[in-house]
Amino acid sequence: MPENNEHTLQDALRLLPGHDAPEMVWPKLEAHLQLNAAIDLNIPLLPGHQPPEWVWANLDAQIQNAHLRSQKTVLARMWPLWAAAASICVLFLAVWFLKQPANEDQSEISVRYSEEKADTVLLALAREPEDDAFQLLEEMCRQAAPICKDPEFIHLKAELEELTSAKSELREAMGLYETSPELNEQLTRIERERSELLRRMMNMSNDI
Amino acid sequence: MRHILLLFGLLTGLAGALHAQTTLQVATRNIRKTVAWKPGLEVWINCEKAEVEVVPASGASIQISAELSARHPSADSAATDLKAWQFVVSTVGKKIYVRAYIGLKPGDSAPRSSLKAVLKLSVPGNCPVDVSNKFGKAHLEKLNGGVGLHGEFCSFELVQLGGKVDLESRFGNVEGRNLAGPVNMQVKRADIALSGLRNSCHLKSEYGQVTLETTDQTGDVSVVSTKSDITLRAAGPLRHSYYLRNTYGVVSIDQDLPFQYSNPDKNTRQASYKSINSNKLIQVDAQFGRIQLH
Repeated sequence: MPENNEHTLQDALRLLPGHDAPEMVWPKLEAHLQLNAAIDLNIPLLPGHQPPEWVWANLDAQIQNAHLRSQKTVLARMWPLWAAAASICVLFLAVWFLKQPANEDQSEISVRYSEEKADTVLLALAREPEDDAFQLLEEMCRQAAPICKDPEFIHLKAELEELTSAKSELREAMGLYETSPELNEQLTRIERERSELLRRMMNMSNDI
Repeated sequence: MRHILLLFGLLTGLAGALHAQTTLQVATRNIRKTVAWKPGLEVWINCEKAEVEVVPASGASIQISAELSARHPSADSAATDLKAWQFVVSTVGKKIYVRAYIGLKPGDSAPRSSLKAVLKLSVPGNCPVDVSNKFGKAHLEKLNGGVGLHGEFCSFELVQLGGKVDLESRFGNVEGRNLAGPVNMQVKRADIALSGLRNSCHLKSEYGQVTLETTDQTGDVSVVSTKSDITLRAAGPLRHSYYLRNTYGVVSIDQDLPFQYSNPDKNTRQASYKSINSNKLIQVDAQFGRIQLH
């Protein structure tokens, strides 16, 4: 805060009376300063002494007691905070446990796109048209040819139908772009067995 | 000269046509899962159009890797058809089910792409495994738990299995090597080739070829077949007794052993041999086809 009448204050200060210290004060001050200097000079020259072991043990025990007492106090004061933290942890654990399927520990999924060369010879196998001779056999039995009542012929025809059904099933599963050697081999085997049956059935019909 | 050039051109064109290739766009979804396992749990794999591989795991968990793909000349069709693949891993009771199937919602059109799944599982050695697959193949190796296998148009390759093997296959060949547990197989219109059998073996075959290589460790063997060719090979000297019977077929034996031959009726051939070294029996009962002992 600025002084409103600074000149008045300065004048009043100049008018105050001056006093000197009594003569006896100066020798006392000088003696006191000399004593402090002598102490500082002689402290490093003093001998060192270790306290007995029990002093340190007592001190240690006191420090520990003091520390525990203070921690207990802090813990006791912070119990609402600890309770809140524990509740949050329990909540997180419960959500994790409920969302986690019982038996799956880890799971990874990824999708990729690529190109592949397919052999047209293998692709053509599943697209081969049915031989007309099989149709001829069906036509023959539709017209009630006598051979179609022969027990052995009926047995062979049942076998042929089983194989034809298997062939259809396999071709449908293979689709138009299947190149698996195993499935193509299986298809070839079925077709070979069908051809063998057809040959035997045609021979039987010719023999009658 | 003109004819030679024409012929050369024709041959070159033919060779080119034979090696012609079509480019297919492939959309693939990869899935990896780890499932905790404990003794008593079994793995049941149910899939179609899949190549399945099951091998032993080093730890006590089941690692599953699935590669589901769709192939089509159009990338859009491949990407769309990829969504038809469904892959589910779930635990019900003591069974861990792994399913890969084509699931269509009502109104969805059938996929036009070629669909294929590759499933690779590593399971704890003692974990029993059951595999059902159509239109694919399955390879199981070095497992000690029992295995159950069911396939249609699915070939099976079994190597070093320690537990019981129960298998049913239709239109899918079976090859087994070093099988220590009892073997029970029913196979129709497919071939069976087994070697290194160290326990009993019961086979039923229709319209296929059966090739069995037995050792002195092999237990009792029985084969019942219809219209199949059965070939028996003994590694080392014959230790087993034999009873071979074929109706409407042939029995052929290439061994210098005192077999007893008989014809119980005009259509049936029978050959038997009683071993003095062992009371284990190899028995074949066939209709049509051929039984051969080498």
